[in-house]
Order: sequence, then C-alpha cells, then structure tokens
Amino acid sequence: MTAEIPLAARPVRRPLLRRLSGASFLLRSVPAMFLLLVLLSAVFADFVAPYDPAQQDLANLLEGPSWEHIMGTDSLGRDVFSRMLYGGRISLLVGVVSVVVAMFIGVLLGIASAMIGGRLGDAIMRLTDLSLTLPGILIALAVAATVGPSLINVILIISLLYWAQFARMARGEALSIRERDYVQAAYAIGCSPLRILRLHIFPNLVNTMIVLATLEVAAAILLESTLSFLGVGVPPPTPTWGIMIAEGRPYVELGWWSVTFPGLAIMLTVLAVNLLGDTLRDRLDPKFAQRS
Amino acid sequence: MSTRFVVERLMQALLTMLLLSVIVFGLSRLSGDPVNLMAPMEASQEDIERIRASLGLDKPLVVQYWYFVTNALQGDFGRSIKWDRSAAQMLLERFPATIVLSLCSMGLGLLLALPVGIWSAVRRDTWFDNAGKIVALAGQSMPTFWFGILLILFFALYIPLLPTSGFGYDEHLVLPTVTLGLFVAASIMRVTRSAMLDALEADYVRTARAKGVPEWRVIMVHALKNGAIPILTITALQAATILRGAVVTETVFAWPGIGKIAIDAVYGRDFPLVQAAVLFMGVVFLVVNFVVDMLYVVLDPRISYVKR
Repeated sequence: MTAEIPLAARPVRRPLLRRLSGASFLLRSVPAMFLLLVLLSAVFADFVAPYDPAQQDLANLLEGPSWEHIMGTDSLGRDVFSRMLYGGRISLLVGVVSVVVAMFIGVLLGIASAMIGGRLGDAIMRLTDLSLTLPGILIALAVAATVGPSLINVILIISLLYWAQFARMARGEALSIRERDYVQAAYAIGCSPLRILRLHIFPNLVNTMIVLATLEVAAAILLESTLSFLGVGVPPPTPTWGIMIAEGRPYVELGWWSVTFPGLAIMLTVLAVNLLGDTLRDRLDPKFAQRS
Repeated sequence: MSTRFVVERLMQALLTMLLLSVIVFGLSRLSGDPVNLMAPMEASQEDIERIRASLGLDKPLVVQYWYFVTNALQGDFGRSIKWDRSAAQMLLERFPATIVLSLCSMGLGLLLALPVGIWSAVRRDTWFDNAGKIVALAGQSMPTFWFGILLILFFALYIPLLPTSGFGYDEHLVLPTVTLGLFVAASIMRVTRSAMLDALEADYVRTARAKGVPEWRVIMVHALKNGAIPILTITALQAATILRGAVVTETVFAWPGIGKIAIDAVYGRDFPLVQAAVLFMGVVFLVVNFVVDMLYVVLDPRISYVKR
C-alpha cells in the first residue's frame, strides 16, 4: 500500500545527466567502485595475479615496470603487482574483521552500560574512557613483542584498541533513544527491556554504528600497514602492503616502484573508505552530517 | 577553575596510569621467564634460581607487581637486557631528540594548517577550499612511513639536498619534521576550517561587520577567538598522535628518539626496555592530555566539567 505523497514533499529529481556529472556524484561513486575493484582483486587474487607472489626470480630483480611486470619486481625478483593483489587480502581482512570484532564488543558493552546503569554501568564507562586514553600503538608494540606477531594477534590487538569508540557512541545513542516518547510509552505499557532493546534501541543504533565502523575500517587499515611496516604485523612470507614497503625501502633508489605502488594502494584504499564513510554519514545519519 | 575538576582529572589520569602499568606488567609475565634470556647458556639450575630470587621472580605475582610499581615510582624501570643500563636513563637521554622533533613538527603543522584552514573557510567552496580539502583528506589517508620514504627518495636521493637519515639539530631535522608536520597539519586544517565556518556565521560576526569592523579583523579576532576551542582540541589530540607518529618517523629516518629506542627494543626482545618505553610514553601522553583539559577551562569558562 503506497500512500499518495504530497507534491511538495517529493524529492526534486534533477535531470539524469546533471546527476551523473556532478562532483558529488563522482565523490560518491568513484570510491565505491574503487573499493569494489580492490575487494574483487583481493578475493580473486589467485586468478587475477599474473605471477605467484612468493616466486623469486633472482635474474630479474628490481626490474622496472614493463609489459611482463606492470609494476616491476622487488629486490628478490618477485612481481610487485601480484604481491599487491595478495596484500590487499590482508589489509581488507584485518581492517574489516578487527572492526567487526571491536564493534561487537563495543556495542555490547555500550548498550549494557546504558541499560543497566548504576555502579556497573559507570564502571564500564570508566573502563571505556581509560582505554581511549591508552597509547594504542605502544601497546600494540608491546603485545606484538610479547606474544609474537600473527594474523589473529594483529586482529585482536586492533579490535582491543578500537572497541571503546563504539562503546561510547552506542551508550550515548542508547541513552538518548531511551528517553524518546515512544520508548517511554513502550516501557509504560509493560514491554520487557529485551523487547525494547530489540525493537527500538537496536534498529536506531544501526546507522550510527555503520558510519562509525566505516571510518574505523580506514583507520584500522592504516594501523595494520603501520604494524606490518614496523615488523610486528602479519609475519612474512604473507605479502602485506606494509611489509612490501619495509622490504623495498633499502632499495628505494634502485627501484621506486617496489615502495611507491603498495603505498599508493594503502592511500587510495584508505581514502576511498574515508570518502565512503562521509557519504554514508550524510545519507544514514544526518545528525552527524557536518559541513564537508 | 574548580579544585574538584582538577582533582577529578588527576585521579582519572592516575587510574589510566595504573591500568597501563597492569597491562605492561601482565605482558612482561606473559612473555615467559626473562631469566632464560639473561642467564648465560651454561648457567646451572642453581644459578638460574639465584638470579630469579635476586629479581624477585620467585614471589607471588601480586608481590611482584607491587615491587614493579614501587620501583617505577622511584624512577627505576628496570635494566635493559641488551645494554645492561638503566632503562629510565636511556629513555631520558633520548627524550630531547623526540621533543625537538615533535615541537618542530607541531610548529610546522600549525603554520600550514591555520592559514590554509582559515582561508578555506573564508573562501568557502572556491577552488582553494576544494583543493585544500582534497589535499588534507589525502594526507590523512597516507601512511606516514610511506610519505617519509618518498621524501627521502626525492629530496635526498634524486635531488641530493638533504641527508637521508641520521641525527642533528640542523638539516637532518628537515625531512622528519616535514613528514610528521604535514601529517599533523591535515587534521588541524580540517577542524580549523569547520570551526571557522561556524564562527563566521555567528551573530557577533554579523554585528561586527555591521559596525564596520574591517574584514580582516572580523576574521582574525572575532571569529578566530571563538573558533579556538575546537582548534585547540584537535591540536592537543594531534600532540598525542605525534607521539605515535614519532615511533614510525624516527624509525624511517633513524632519528634516535624514544620511538626508535622502543622499536629497537622490540626487535631485540629487550623486554624491560620496551616496558619502560611504553610506560614512559604513556606518562607523556597523559600529561599532555591533562594539560589540555586544564587549558580548556582557562580558555572557556563555560566549561567546568563538574558533573551536575
């Protein structure tokens, strides 16, 4: 059943050509398409990559970009382009999984703190504030030095550093949603807290969390590449963008390509995720929409 | 400034410090028995026991933690395994290098970010504003270490103007400062712009214009003063980010600050030194945060932070 929308309330549709050519359209669609490309090439790296990323070719080390190796070869003669495709897997995997874990912990604790309230709720919030002020990368270093680097550890470290943002945001949202009239009404007619959580609080929280998560994914990808670069990320021989830059650094004068391309990959991916986050914020969460 | 506010903030900082010390202590015990790292290969079981007892490792964990905290409070952060020197002393020796790098970067960052941010707000939606926006966003999305390496490549290798790395309060400082400074500038610029946009739309700005105050004075005095709080906030946050960025930048440029020492200690599995470095930077981080909180209240009396 569709109700008749009053004419004035209908969105004004601009002509198709105008909509497709505007700068804002470019800002919205190009990042999304780029990310899709990165995602697909990472997932299907086995089929897309022209070479085995671990295949060394000492006769052709530090070759510049050519038709055989479109992004050149690194100091061990490995194909930079192929390694980059595989490196995208780690970046995306770590970025997304660690943020999902962080979001899970954060939303759970944030809502719990808002709904329970009292001493326990305050204690949770205190813990959140504390972990927001902890120097993240140093703890990551200390942890990596202790338990040794591995894919799981990197994901855990990043999610333990990022959950607090979600907790704080979820709590704030949950508290304000709880005060709205319809939620109060639901309380008054005797809805159980769980029902209120499921029907009112949770759906209203989703948009904010998606926006925050997107922006955090960008930060997580940067952090992952930094940890990799410092040698405390996912250990070799798995190619990651950060490790590729670290390995290329001593030879940068002989082969700019082995450092430049992975760095560009990080930058463009993070930029695209950030732009996507901004778009989502404008779309899903007008409260957030600051001037961009 | 209410005393209660100061005390509350101070307590919070101390609590964070306590949490940090528990984390660091816990990690050091997770890492396995440090005695095996220290003792020579041919040490007998008795020798190992003796070393363990001399380090207090035969005591219960809680007692060990107590020793750890009391020692740390007295400035004893343990000894570096690799260098067999007081870790605290090593860090203090390296600290000035980090301070100088951080201050220069922050200076450069502000010098770039403030004028560009203000001008972007004044000339909103012009090509200048858009270009600034794109550059800032790209800057925020760029890995610091990569940018540093590119700078080395262009300005030290291709055009040999500056040294690739190393230490000195001279041209050695240029590339690391630019690396960290631009990184910091990006965030400050974005916030400056939006703070100024808000301020420029405010009633007092319209009043000032109506009174015939010259436009530069409206911008630089009336608007900027009121936009100062968010700008200060992000600057303070960036001061903390610089500490993090310093770890990376110092590694790239072999700048002998505490970030470099921390990374070297991680590589060398020199755990007491890692521990000390993390605690040390934690303290610096908290002190910066605390000072900033105090500054808010001084700058904006409306903020009191005292709970209703």
